[in-house]
Amino acid sequence: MSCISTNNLTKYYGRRVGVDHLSIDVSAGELLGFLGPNGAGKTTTIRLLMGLLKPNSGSACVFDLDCWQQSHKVKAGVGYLPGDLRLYPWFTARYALKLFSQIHRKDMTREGEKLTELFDLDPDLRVDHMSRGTRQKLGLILALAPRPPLLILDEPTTGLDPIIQYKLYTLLRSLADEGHTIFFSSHTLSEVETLCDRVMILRKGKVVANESIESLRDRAKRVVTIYWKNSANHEAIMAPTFLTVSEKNSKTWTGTIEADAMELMRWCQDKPIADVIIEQPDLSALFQQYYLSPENSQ
Amino acid sequence: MNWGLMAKTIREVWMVTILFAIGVAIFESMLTYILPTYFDEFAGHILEIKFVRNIITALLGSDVGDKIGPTALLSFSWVHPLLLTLLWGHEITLCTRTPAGEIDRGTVDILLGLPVSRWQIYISETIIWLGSGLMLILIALVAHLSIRTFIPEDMHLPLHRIIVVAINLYCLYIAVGGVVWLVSALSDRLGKAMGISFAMILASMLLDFIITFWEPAKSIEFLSVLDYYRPWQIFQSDTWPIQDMLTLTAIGLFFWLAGAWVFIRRDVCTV
Repeated sequence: MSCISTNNLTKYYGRRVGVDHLSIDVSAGELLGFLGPNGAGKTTTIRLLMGLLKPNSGSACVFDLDCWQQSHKVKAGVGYLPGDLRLYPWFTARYALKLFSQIHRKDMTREGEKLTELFDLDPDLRVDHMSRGTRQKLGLILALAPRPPLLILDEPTTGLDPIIQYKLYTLLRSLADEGHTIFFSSHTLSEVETLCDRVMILRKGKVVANESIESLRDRAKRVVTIYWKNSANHEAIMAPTFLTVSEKNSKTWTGTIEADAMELMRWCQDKPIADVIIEQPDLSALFQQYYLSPENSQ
Repeated sequence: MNWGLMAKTIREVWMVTILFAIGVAIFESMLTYILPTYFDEFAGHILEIKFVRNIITALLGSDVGDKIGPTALLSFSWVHPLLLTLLWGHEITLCTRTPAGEIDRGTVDILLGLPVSRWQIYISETIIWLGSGLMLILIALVAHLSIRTFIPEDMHLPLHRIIVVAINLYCLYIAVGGVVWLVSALSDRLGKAMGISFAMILASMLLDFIITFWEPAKSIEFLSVLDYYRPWQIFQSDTWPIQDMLTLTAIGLFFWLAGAWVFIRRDVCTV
């Protein structure tokens, strides 16, 4: 079943494009990373899904409800964390949870208390006395406490320390395993790689990649370093076609492979090699290709 | 109606409303006591000045001529610019909160991320605006009635007419608030919304003054909201100014609905 679907969704800010004929589909229970450089249209897409912006053309649906016409019904099932999070200065976690429970007409104080403990947040600290990271924690608590079927998080790890980031990853993973759908935007390639089932990359308002992390990994190049034996004469050895050697010296070759690592190992068997180091697939290089505009990447 | 939204609004406006209420109570009490008590001093000096008489005429809504006495001066307490400024200042503060204020401070994304419709947000804020405005006018009424026990009974204004004036004043409050709601719905900046609202009210008051000095301006008299609030005439006659009240309420309702229409249809997010 489709949890989020957009069809030719288009939004302009005057003459500047926000999103351009965007058609995406997110299944229930999926953990989707939404990547893209600044101004790519990530936040615009999220705001269109939340009914904050009205599309110029096309449509966006969440739970088969129109995001603009039926936004309050959509939001009943969505936990939302805005990108540029600003909370009421008089909020404390305790008061905000009580107030949000009244507005949601659903008691979320218990779940909120659990999250407050998990994120190590003082429930009586006012927002105007909080650091940026602490405010982000409160924003996350308020988005997660109703345990909604869909979480839309705009750069959720901004300002969080690595320990809290790790706790958040674990929590999001377990929520996805329970069947919650998580749609989050990020700038951090590593967190998308660690956490997501699928990644969608946006550039200039258009989707330029929409793939599972597994298939991206398969396509990603791996950096390989071959160490030759001291006595070996490897001058005459030719590199196989799947290995692109970028640096050669008397002791080592450094390059990248596009093929399976096993193929390289088979090629190495009858060569005077002392050691081979094959690194993890380098997704960042692949992402960067997508980030760069066609004219820049050439 | 969403009680949570109303609780949030009350949490944010109770302090400012209490401050305005204290101001209204102090000011209305002072005027109620001072104006008739020191009438002779006023009549002997200040009221002789033509300019001052013109201002009083403009505020009371009609030329009091030679009929000016302690009672006429007491009715001035219901149109004194400071009382009006306090009431309008309060409603400008409240009616520009959403969406202009929420966008300006960046909290609108959180507010609109909640499972409520924009209409519910608008209604919740409106209820608090109308409720607190009613409270301020009741406080002015109570202050007036409490303090008049200290002045001679022959100077008292009739109670039922004071109530009619208070109701007319509330209609004026609704008319001005309605316009401010529309200005707020069209703005992304709180300061801009407040500034435009203040300028419009000031222009309306100025028009009322200009009319007393410059005859040709009478043709656009209907544009001034004070043209529909004339306490002196209410105190002089025993009739309800139904037409004025309906006009003010209709102005308020029209602009309030226009504000709702804009707010519900426009893009709203932190800019």
